[in-house]
Amino acid sequence: MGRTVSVQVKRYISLILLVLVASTAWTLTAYIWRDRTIRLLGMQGTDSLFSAARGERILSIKVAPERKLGNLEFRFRCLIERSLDEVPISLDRAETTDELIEACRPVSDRLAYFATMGAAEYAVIHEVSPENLKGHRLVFIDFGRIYASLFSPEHGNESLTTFAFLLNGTDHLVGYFEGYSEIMVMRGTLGRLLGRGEILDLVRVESGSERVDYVPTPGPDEFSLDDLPPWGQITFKEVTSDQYGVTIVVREGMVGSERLLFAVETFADGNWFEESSGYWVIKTGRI
Amino acid sequence: MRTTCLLAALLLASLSLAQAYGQVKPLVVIGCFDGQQYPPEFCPNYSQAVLDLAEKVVGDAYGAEIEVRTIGDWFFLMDALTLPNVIGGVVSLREGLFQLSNMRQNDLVSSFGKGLGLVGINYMGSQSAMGRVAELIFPLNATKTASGKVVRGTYVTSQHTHVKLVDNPITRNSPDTMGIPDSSLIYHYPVSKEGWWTPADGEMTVLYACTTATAEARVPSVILYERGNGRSVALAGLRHNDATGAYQKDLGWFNHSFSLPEVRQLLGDALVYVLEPFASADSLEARMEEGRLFVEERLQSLEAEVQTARDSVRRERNESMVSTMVVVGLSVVAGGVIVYLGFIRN
Repeated sequence: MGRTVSVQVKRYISLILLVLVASTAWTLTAYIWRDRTIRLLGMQGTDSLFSAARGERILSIKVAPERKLGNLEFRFRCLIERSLDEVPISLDRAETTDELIEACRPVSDRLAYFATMGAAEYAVIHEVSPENLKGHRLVFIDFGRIYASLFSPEHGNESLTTFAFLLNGTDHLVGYFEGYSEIMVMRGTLGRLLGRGEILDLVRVESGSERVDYVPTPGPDEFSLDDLPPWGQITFKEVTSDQYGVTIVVREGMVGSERLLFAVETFADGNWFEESSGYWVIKTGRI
Repeated sequence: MRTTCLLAALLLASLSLAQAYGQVKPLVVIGCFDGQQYPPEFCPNYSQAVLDLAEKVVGDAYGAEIEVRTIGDWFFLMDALTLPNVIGGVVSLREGLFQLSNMRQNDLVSSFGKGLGLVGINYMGSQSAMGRVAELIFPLNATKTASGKVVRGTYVTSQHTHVKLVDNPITRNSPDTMGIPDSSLIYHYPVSKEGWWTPADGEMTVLYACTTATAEARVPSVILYERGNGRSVALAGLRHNDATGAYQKDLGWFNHSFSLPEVRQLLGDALVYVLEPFASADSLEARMEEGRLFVEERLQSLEAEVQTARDSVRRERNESMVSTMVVVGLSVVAGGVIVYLGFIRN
């Protein structure tokens, strides 16, 4: 009788141990296959800009690499909305990205042209959700890297490199944006673009404990906003610090009449990390 | 969240656009825009009409080697004109209520001097909109417009008379006097009795002069200009009137004058002439080789970046596979021991 009980107990214990081994193996495997390159520490956007006569707004991103990287890059893009009435798009509803691209001349022209030189494969096309517009999706098409390779940096805030379509829950096109590989731009009079020096107060780039400040009028140990890398790309090589971040302080001031789309995309060793990328549709002063 | 990351290569497959790397083709670009707003609005109908004409004349004169294509975005047109495989183009601007940036002006002027064959229509020669481009590419340097007259609130045209001043390959097939309905003809003001305004650099030849734009004197209406390796023809009139398609009412509506055979002849001959230095087999080959090297060199870093991304993903996946195999192996061994001790040994 006693021996039978002992055998039963042993079997129960064995079963429990088997479950423990299996669950540990499962947990370990999940840990191994997790996305372990970049951890988002914080990301801050805004719903409106330039709406107050005075003051500032802060946009920022901070990430921590979870392994040694050769290259970590924040790509900033700033797009300006164009009225759907004046946009060369031949549809008002789309279920697929292909439909949108074919119907939009500025995008299809660029793809076709870059295809003639074998560069179109470097266009980046993402379908994402805007941070501050739930129930909508954005089709985000970026030629920024192609432009950065083919054109001189002077084209940085002159060439349209990035396009985005805003679609609602029923796949109707409710917004079209086109813009630049720049941290922040805004449209002025006679088509003139207001650049960094006119609408930014500070861009702070952090790498571990090291901070580099870019300001309109640099003092000692500061840099001019014009010294920021071209094409809206802030890149860190041989990434070994515990955290990296960029903070942008935007000057307020009642400028602008269109909505903006501000985007920051994070790439580690050339791969895009969606969780560490953010897209904000921003109302501006006069809306 | 729906997330999709598509490589453009997939799209290219569906668009049937993919071409092998390095097959850089010589390109002539066409773009007709309405500059009453910014960015200038693409005019698809007029552009298509100009494209059809350009494809025919370029194909007849130089063969199918040269591709003719419309570019429907002002900014991209400006970009494309600076790239080495673009050998020329036809750009029309109706009105110009904006200012081309200094960077763009300098870029275009520089690219033209390096070798472009361009035809510019209407406001491409306007000083206020195009700045240095109106002096050193399309040297109309126009500061004033002879507008059309309103006829019953619909058509806005005037009949202008243009007289031929020079007989050359552009004007050889065109009549000595042309009467063209136009709603806008731009010119430099004040009109000097001593002679027309001319740029400091390059060689400018007035091919046609308009006798009806002003009462004071004749003004240049078709200009041939050569500077450095660039060659251009500027047409002061030929403003198109509709941007998007009301022309079904009248096939000439979007540009009353474009349906005239003599205007089409002049525009076609002008395009063929400005492309001549760049369209010969030797010239094209050299240009395309230059373009190929440019593209290869510029895209190398991009290719390396893409390769790094692929390698990084592959390396990470391989490491994960090895770790997973170790975990699974140890788990199987542990499980085997537990089963043996718990179930089999007794």
